[in-house]
Order: sequence, then structure tokens, then C-alpha cells
Amino acid sequence: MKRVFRILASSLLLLTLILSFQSCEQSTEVGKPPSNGQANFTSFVAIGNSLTAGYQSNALFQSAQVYSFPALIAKQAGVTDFQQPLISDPGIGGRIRVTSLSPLTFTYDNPAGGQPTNINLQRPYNNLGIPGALLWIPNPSLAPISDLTDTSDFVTSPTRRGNPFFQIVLRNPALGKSILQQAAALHPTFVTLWIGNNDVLGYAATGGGWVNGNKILQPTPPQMFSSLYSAVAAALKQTNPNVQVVVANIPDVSAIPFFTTVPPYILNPQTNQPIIGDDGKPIHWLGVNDGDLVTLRALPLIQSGYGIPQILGGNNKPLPDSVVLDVNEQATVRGAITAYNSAIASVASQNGFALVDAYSIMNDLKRYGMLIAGQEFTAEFITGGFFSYDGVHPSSRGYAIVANEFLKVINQKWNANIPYVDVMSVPGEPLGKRPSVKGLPNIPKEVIDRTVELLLP
Amino acid sequence: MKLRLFILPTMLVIGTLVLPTRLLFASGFQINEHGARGMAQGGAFAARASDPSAIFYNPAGLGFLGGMNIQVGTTLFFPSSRFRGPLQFNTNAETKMVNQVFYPSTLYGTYSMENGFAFGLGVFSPYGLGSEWPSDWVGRGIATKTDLKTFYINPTVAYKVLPQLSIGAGFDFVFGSVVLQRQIVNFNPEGSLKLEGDGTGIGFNAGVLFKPSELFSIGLSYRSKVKLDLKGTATFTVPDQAKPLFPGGDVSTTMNMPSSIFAGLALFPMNNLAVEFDYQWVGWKVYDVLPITFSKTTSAQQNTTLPQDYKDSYILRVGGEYLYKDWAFRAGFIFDKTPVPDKTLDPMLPDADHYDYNIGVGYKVSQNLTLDFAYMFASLKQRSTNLGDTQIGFDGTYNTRAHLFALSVGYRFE
Repeated sequence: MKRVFRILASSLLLLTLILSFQSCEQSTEVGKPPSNGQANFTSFVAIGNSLTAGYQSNALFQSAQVYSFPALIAKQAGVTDFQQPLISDPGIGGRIRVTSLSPLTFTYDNPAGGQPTNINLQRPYNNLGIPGALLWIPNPSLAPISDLTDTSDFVTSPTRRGNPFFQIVLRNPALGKSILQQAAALHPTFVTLWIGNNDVLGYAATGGGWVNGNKILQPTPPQMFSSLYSAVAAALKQTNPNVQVVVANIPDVSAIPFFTTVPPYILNPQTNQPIIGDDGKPIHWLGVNDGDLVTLRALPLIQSGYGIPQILGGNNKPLPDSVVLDVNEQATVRGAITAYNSAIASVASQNGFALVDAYSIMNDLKRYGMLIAGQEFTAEFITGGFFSYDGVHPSSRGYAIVANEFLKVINQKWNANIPYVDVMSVPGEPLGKRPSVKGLPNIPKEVIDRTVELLLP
Repeated sequence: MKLRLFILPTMLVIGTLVLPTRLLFASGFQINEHGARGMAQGGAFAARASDPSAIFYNPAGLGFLGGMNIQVGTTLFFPSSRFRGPLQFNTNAETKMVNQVFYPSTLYGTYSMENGFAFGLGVFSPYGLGSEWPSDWVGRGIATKTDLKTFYINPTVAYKVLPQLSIGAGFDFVFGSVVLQRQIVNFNPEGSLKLEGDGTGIGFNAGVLFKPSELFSIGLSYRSKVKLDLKGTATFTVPDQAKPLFPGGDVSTTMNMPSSIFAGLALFPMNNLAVEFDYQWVGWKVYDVLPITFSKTTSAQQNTTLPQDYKDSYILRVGGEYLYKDWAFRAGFIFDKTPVPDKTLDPMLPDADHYDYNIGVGYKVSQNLTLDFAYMFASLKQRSTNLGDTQIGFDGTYNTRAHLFALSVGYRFE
């Protein structure tokens, strides 16, 4: 009996021993090694507007430009010589800073406080994003002229449309007389193209095209957009028939805090809650109806009593049309964006370009927020983390998220495995997601005006 | 004879690692290393419980002890852990956890009377965890330093009902403390948050030990769950602009330590040889959420509930001991199933199934004094979550292992 027992016990022990060795510490390789696949970054050029330049918080400045999405893509793809038109801090434009969260208060830096620093580069910049650039330059005779191809002299008219950035980015006609000419001079193998936002944003941000007291601006006509976009694509292909291009489409304005921060109804400044009227519903600002979007431009006016009835302490004057995007104007905007995005998709597919669906990405950000490696980002003003303090442009982290969306598309299209940007290694805004802002921020009028000017042709 | 020679080296070859009690040892944050003798045998000790550490393994063991005994011990733990990812950034960049050393200790005292009653008092730490990641690592917004300590004081009583049967029971008076730290990455410059608190709880334990023949014995013991109510303070370090929205202040939380059942079968195939198989069930389901409640809330400082959703799990233990003159040679192996589901896996406690290899020796210095030494190598299974598996949106691969060294000194008063 004892013997049986011994055999049983030792066999069980042996069995355990054998089984235990199956589980010796394992550490296996995970994932695929990084690679650029078929993506060719030998000469990488970025074409676009302020979103491409890395403009944020109302200015273009070096410590933000290093986080422009093309610069981030270049870094991830191992491109060593990606040159940008860097402007020393605090940059040009009037950088917005937050000095207090409670109450929310801003200041802004000297609008002409920075100097271009990378001016001796003997070739065009890789980043040819020019804040304010338009696909179509509006003109009464409807001539198909584009900021991308227009060769009119930007040197002798240094304040082209009052915009100093053409001179800063293009510098010298000897490098190329237009954005596309300078791009061509670099013999690009890889191009990012994100243009067309300002073609509708100028109209939207001015509450329906109000310029100098007149309602004159319209979004670029869809036909014009489509033909110019095709022409740009053709021009790129001409510089290099094998050029690899990633384009991005136009996000909906209602995803941008510039349009969504001020609610259409009056807020009690003490409680920051809406004031309820006799019908049990919140009271709209004077001049604002249900469904209207009120832009950030309304803020200084509200502070001076506009839009508020006398009995509630206001001056009884309605908010002007120029700070309100009513439902019809919104329909115009949406119609334009839909048409532009359709054209962009079409051109991309015909030419074999990759497409970043910025429209859907921004809508998802607005609806659901984004969870990026354990951190939440939303489309809220100030606190969302994605947008900078001008309510229009992304923050550095927002641009990192944009770069990652481009990289996702690049990896898929060209069979690459480029690691994404570590969004957490990019500096956050001085004040981020957590503090949720109650009530309306106090932004100086000049600051908001400057933001809008940039969007105007 | 031949068989005997075969078994001994076999047992010695199964090296087991005893790991530090704090971090990740025994899955979830349970620690099962409570005395070098038990540890050397993979903790398969509930069916014998033949030294003062019976207070932990099976209080009924006290009924068979006799005399007055005291045993004090400590375990030195050296864990190492690394993370590759996060997949959210399409990278396998590696981050290593900061190396720490832990030394949970145990103290047991027993006193047996002629009439069959025996009393004991034990002080040990069945639950603890600690993890520390570099303060600038990619997951710093989730966790940097986490530290949980529990301290059980367990008075027990046992009674030898029959020559072959003993029963025992006791109360647990539990002290716990927790520190949770992370960076607040939304700001530039970054801020940080430190939540620390402590508190108490109570529970009980009970056990049965049956020795029907000299060939085998059966042990069954139970330790109840304990609800720890912890209170403390939250300290935020943020830029000036944000200070009014993060006042910090009093904070409280509740942690449920699971109940545990040990069932063991010990075999004595030869005179000086014991081999035991234990099954331990751990009721981790009670650790479902970690609520954080602030006494003062602002629009930014809000109460949160961190889902944990642990699953009930089990541990399989096998171990043995061979006596030779004044020496005892021991070895054991443990398979420990993790209670942490993929969904709630996070860097605070990157748990996985354990495979622990134990080995040890005991030496009878004199009639009254014994020394026990044990070594364990704990190897956790590589654990990977796919993009989107975790709730917090932080996916990648964790690899953890550790070395433990335990020493116990026992003295028997005559």
C-alpha cells in the first residue's frame, strides 16, 4: 500500500515538474518593426494654410511651429532636413495667453513681437503652409486664380491682402513665384495638401460674409473649387508623375469652438446658467434665434451689454448679424463643405492620392471626444485640449493628433509601419482638459478680430 | 531506495521563486508568502500547517503544534517589470518600471494548552501592491507611483477535537494605507496629483485539519473578505491659473479585500517526505470598483469611480519537504490565475498569470531554534492587450518577473 502510495505521489510530482517547465518565462517580440514601406520621403513638401503652418492661439511662433503636423510627420518618418519658416517667439499675430481660469481672463503678446529666423535657407522651405491661404482668391470677374498658383508679386506688395505671411514663407521670387512653383523647385516625392478651409471659413467666421459693414463675401463656388483643386492636382503630378500625395478634407464649422462656445441663449453672469423665460425655455440673445450659432466675436459685445434686454441689465441692442451664423447661413456653409469634400474625394481617387477624412474625425471629436493613450480630448474651448486659445486652430497636442491621423493613412496606403507621435511628449496648453469653464470667457476684441482677419481674403 | 534518491534531486530542481509581497505577487494584489517554510513549498501548506505560520495557512494547525512558539520572518522582493507600447501610438518602445525592493514581514506567536486548546497571534500582510513608473513616461497621466499596504493582526484559537482532528478560527483586524500618484498632463508645465489615505477593517478566518492516517492529511481553511474604508487627502500641484479649481482636500475610498479558501491534500509516502497539493480559491469579484470621493468638489475636481471588475480566481500549489537529520529540503510550484480582466488592465497593477518556482531549506540549529530560508522565482506570463481592449485606452505588452528571498526564525519555548 505504501509503495503504491509512493509511486502515486512521485508520479504526481513528476507530472507537475514537467508541466511547470512548459511555462518558463516567455518574452516574445511584439508588433512589426518600424518602416517607411513604400512611402518615399526623399523630398517632403507640405502645402496648405495656417493648419499646415502650425499656427495656433492666434499666432505663428517657433515653439508651436516645431509641432506643426508636417514637422511631426517628418520626424516620425526619419526625415532629417525638414525646413520651416520659423519665427522667434512670441511670433507674429498676437499670441493669446490665459492668465486666469477663474474668472477666465486672457492677454495677448505683441502681434509683431517675433522675427523670422531661418531666412538664409538657400532653397524653399519644406513647409509651405501660409496662414490665410485660399484655394480661390475671390475676384468680381470670377477668374480662376488661386493662392497656390498665383504668381503676382508678393515682394512689392508685402502686405498682400494685409497678410505678412506670404512674404515670410515665400521670401524671394527667385525661389519660385508661387507656392506651387516653390514646391516644384524641391522636386517633391511626398506631399501633404490641406487647402480650402479658408474658402468657407471667411464667410462663416464673419457671420455670413460681413466685411466692413457689408454682407459681400460668399464661400468659393463649388464649381470653382472643384476645377481649381483638379488643376492643383495636375500641377503636382507634373512636377513628378510618381509623387505621393496625402490630402485632407474640410471639417464642419460646428465642430470648431469658435462657433460653439457661446450658446444662443443668455447666461446669468452670476450662476452661468441660462435664464428661463415665461414659456419655460431659455431666453435667446437679442438678434439670435433658435438654431443660430453665435461666434466668439460676440463676446466683447455681450460684455458691453449687446444682445441683452434692458430689464436684464443690457443696452437692449441686438447682437449684429456679423457675429451670428443663422440657420440659412449654416446651410450655405454646410452645402459648400459638402461640395468641397466631394471634389476633394473625387480628385484624390482619380489621382491615387491618400485622403484623411478630417471632416469625420472632427465630428467624432465633437460628439464622442477622443481617448488618446489614456487621456481624453474634446472639442471644447480652452479645456478640451485639442484646440488652442483662438478657438479655430489646434493646439500642439491637437496637431500631434492630426499628424497621427495622417500617419494612419500613410501607413495604410504605402504599406508602412511608421510609429505615431507620442502625443504626451508634446507640450499641453497652459491649462487643459480638466477645468471645465463655466460662463463666457473674457477675450479682448482686438484678439478675436485678428483671428477673423486671417480668414478673410 | 532508488525512488527516494530520484525524488530528492527532482524536488530541488524545481526552483521556485518567492516574490515580494507587494507588487503583483500572487495575482491581483494578494500576497501569499507568509513564512519561509510555507513559501519554499509553493505555499502548499494548508493540509499540514505544522508551524506557527499555520495562523496564516490554516488556524486548525495550531491544535497540533504544542508548546509555545514564536516565529518571525521577512521576505525581500525584487520585482522587475516593463511595458512595450502603447499601441495607440503604434510603437513598441519599452518603459521599465522603477526598481524597488519590498520586505513584508511576519510575526507569529502560539501557545498550546494541555486540554487541547491552542492560541495564536499573527501579524502579516496578505494584500499589498506597489508600482512605480518613471515620472516622465508615456503613461504618466494614468499612474506614476502606486502603493497599497495592508497589515493584518489575527488572533486565533484552535481546538483539537479528536486526536486526528483540529478546528480553528480567528479575527482579522486590518490596517490599510494607499497612495496613488499620477501626473496631470493637460497642463504645461505639467501638474501632479497625490491621493493618500488610510483606514481599518475587520474580518475573520476559520479552518479544519484532519489527519486520519500517517499517509495523508486534509486541510481546509477560509479567510473572509475585508472592507477597508480609507480616508485621507488629495494634493494637487498645478499652475497658478488652475489652483482655484483644484483645491484638493479630504478624500475617501473603499477597497474590498477578497475572501479566500484553501483546500489541501498532503501525502506522506515515506517517513521523512511530505508532498502536498493545494487549491486556493480567491473571491476577487468583490473588488469591482474603486470609488474616489472628495469632500470638496469644483467643476474640475469631481468624484470618480474607477471600475476594476476583477474576476474570482484560483491558485494551484504543489510542494514538498524532505527531512534529513537536522535539515529540511523543500521545493514547490505555483500556478496563479490573474483576476484582472483585459478591460481594466492598467499600469497601476499590470497583472498576469503567475508561474512561481520555489526552493528552500530549513535547519534545526538547536532543540528550540530553527532557521528557514526560501527562494522564489516568479515569472508572470507575458500579457498583451490589443488596440482598444482596455477601457482607459492604453494598450500594449507587459512582462514581469521577480526574485524573492525569505528568512524565518522560529523559537520554541519549553
